[in-house]
Amino acid sequence: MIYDLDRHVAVEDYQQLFAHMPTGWAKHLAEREEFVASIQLASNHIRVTEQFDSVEATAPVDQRLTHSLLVPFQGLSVAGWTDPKAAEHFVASFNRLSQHEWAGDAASPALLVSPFDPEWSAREVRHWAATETPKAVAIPLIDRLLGTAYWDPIYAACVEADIPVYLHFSGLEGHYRGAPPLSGAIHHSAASRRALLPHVAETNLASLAFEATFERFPSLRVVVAGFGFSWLPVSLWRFDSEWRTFRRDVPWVKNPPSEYLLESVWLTSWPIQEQVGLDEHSTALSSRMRERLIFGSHSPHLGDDVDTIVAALGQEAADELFVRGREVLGLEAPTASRGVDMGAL
Amino acid sequence: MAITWHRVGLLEELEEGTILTRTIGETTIGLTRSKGDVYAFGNYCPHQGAPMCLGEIRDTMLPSEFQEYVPGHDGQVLRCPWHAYDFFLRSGTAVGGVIRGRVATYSTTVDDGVVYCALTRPDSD
Repeated sequence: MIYDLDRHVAVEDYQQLFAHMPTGWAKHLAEREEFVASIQLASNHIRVTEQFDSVEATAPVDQRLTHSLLVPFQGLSVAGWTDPKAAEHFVASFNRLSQHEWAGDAASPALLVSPFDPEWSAREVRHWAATETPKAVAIPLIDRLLGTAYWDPIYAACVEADIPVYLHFSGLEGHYRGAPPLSGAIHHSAASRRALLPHVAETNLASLAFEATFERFPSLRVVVAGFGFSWLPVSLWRFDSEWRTFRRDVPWVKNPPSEYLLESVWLTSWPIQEQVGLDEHSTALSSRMRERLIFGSHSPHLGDDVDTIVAALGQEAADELFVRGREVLGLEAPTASRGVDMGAL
Repeated sequence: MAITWHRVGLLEELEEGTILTRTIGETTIGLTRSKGDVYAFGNYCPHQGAPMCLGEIRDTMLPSEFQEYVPGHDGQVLRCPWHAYDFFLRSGTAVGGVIRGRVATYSTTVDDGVVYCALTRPDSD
């Protein structure tokens, strides 16, 4: 069994979305070049080369995958939009298209929400949870830390529906002033932005822990996808160390931050090359940390395919990784065939 | 086993919230007075060995709801001078469970204005 919790999916043309939104808004968005441009820009997911244009929708799917969580990453581009209402219509149209056309036995598209109106987003989650069963709720990242109460309506809806929150970079991070910042200041090149993307995950995990999100929502589950994982031990050590000294400043954090995060957060495995070989993997991450790692191929954007994972970790550790995401998505284990062995009668 | 009491000073020397350093044999202890009671503790932080006699007697923040601060345990908390970990004066345990280890605490008694300390855990433990 292989569960891939980071497979990218895209529309080939933005006009596919127009059929899923009010006519007036479709016309408006078609007339406004900046929105169309952002969709095209988002299609080049990592903004480095042109090589990724238009490959997503037609990328072949590894038939060995039992189930994939599909990331409609173009929808994450609303994080940079100027019109919050347009962003709502955009992600709502993406949800209608993806939940109706891409969902199936072997794939579940993440439900998109708007980062500009958590109350609207909570209604969107409840709407889909009542009729379909989305397996994750993807929040486009903006420059508001995820531990702040601003996001609580979305978390409340996710907990109510028992759906994990899903965090994946849009590629806008650090890209312009006002985007979620990387490191200490605005970086100048795609190289440094991409190299420092883990900062976005680290800073939001710190926020989730120190703003006591998991005290307010003990059953909230969070998947952090595409940000790597080798930084986790150092971050958790620092979070706990500073909490010991400054517990008085955050008295609502009643346990070591690592306890909350190791209970409620999962990280996807891309890029597995951060740790070369099983020995390094086993040494760098405690067994408890390894249990928080789930397979996310990050395909087709130069991701890790199944064979790459097996080559890096060996079959046994890879098999453990592959199956771990099933529970996160709330999926039942496939039942074995109940055929009767006539020879045994 | 009989408890051996050691004379460590006069009650009038102990001001509320201040720490006096004394030695009993080879053991250095801190003495303090809070809300009328006298406390004695070891001079060693279980975190990294800081000299607790250079610490501070104060309050702490109680576990609370998000964005609420509730001060409590006024005068009952000993703060480490190096990393500011808080320990309960009475038990020596870390406030908030931030560390498993505890500061040693010792029995005290006052007789006719004289403070005595025994290198045994207080009865309240």
